[in-house]
Amino acid sequence: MKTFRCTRGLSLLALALALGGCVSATIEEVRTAPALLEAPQEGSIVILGRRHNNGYETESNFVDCVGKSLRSSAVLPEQAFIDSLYPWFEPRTAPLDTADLPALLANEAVAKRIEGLGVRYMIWVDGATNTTDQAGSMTCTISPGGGGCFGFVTWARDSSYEATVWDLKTQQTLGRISSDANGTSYMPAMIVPVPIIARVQAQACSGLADQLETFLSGPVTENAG
Amino acid sequence: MALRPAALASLCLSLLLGGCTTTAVTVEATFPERPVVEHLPLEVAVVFDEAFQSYTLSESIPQRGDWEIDLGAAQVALFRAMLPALFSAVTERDVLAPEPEDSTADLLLRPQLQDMQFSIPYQTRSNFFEVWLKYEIELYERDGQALVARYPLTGYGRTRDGFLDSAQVAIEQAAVTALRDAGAFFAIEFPRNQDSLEAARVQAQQRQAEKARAEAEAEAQAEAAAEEAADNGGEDATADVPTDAPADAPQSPREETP
Repeated sequence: MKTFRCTRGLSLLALALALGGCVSATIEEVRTAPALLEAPQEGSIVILGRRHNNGYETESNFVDCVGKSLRSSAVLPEQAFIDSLYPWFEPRTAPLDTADLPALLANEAVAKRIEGLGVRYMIWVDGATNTTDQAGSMTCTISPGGGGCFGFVTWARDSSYEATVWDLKTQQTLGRISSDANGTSYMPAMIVPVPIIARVQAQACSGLADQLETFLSGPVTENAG
Repeated sequence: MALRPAALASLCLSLLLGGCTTTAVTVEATFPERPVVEHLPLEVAVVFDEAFQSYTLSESIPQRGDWEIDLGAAQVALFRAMLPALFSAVTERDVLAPEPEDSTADLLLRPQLQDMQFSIPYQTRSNFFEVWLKYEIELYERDGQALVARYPLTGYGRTRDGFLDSAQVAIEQAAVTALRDAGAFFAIEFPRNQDSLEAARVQAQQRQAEKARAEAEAEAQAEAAAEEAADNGGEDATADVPTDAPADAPQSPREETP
């Protein structure tokens, strides 16, 4: 009987992993500059999450995910960059637009520190993943003789992010890439809950990172600055 | 088998007592040691008094138990990291007192935490743990008495409610973010206010000089009055007027006897 239960549990787990929740993703890119002035060098990119909004906060694990998924050049870790430039990139003090950059870079100490770090491209990631809908119920019971769950739960999640690429040297916005993904997860339970998870945020991350990769490895102008 | 009912009973008891627990959070943080800030040609002595060093917020949240957030060490760490980047020399003091003769400090700086508040997702129906801090930075002249200026300073931090993160960790991170926010605001704004600081110092020195002059005048007047009283006493006073009577005290008439 125990063997049967174990086999059934493993089968359900394998089924859940094989199925996964369905995710649909959309990526859009807008280039505002025809080409990069210089190909990204090792560590010349930093990806920062915007944390200025009242209602949401870009998750640091999403920013980490995008950074690790970029293959073209090593990305400077977000926290290392923010600490190196403290107090200029805290939520209250960070530039919100390229229009704020000249004032920031006019500060000689800031400009010198950024130059010392070798950062040329700054990517601001704005957005969040939210649960948009959920339904169903599940009851779990624990008794001296054992326990189990029964029910069915479903929830939908939506990820919406936009990455804005800034060139710190020319103080221009080079382009914007948006990544939207949504999907529904399910969790049926008959004694053992079987989560069938739609990896919405991971899909948005990989989509955004792939498009950023294409963007940053795009054409480089002849008049390299 | 006798253990099972006991275990179940203790489980029920612990579930019932869940709301009576105390959540203790000790905020531990390291702050960037080389902030990119303007270096001012000022030497300060910073006063971390006992209340500041050991600040702990205690609050009770209905159905969520008692909370104790120890912020003292973290806020001292923030100022220890930030002030040496702002000022040319920083020394620490435990109490606000006149600076020793050999001290080179231009000013005394005393940070005071006036208020700290926090909220948890249960209270705000949001996904965030939040922390608010309200400081006042007091600047004194070297004598530790003449207040030059008071700088209000606020900090705000929040952390997203993580599925696997504990409430302690979330509140601690929110507090660290709030401290960083307050520090960032001070580090950027304080150097921009040097003109008003200079004006405030001049005013404080003027006030101090006026106070000293007024005290000297009052002392001189008192001495003059005392001398006058003594002179009058030499001519009119009788032996029954006590010598320690105030100068303006009514004196008994010399000839009272009917």
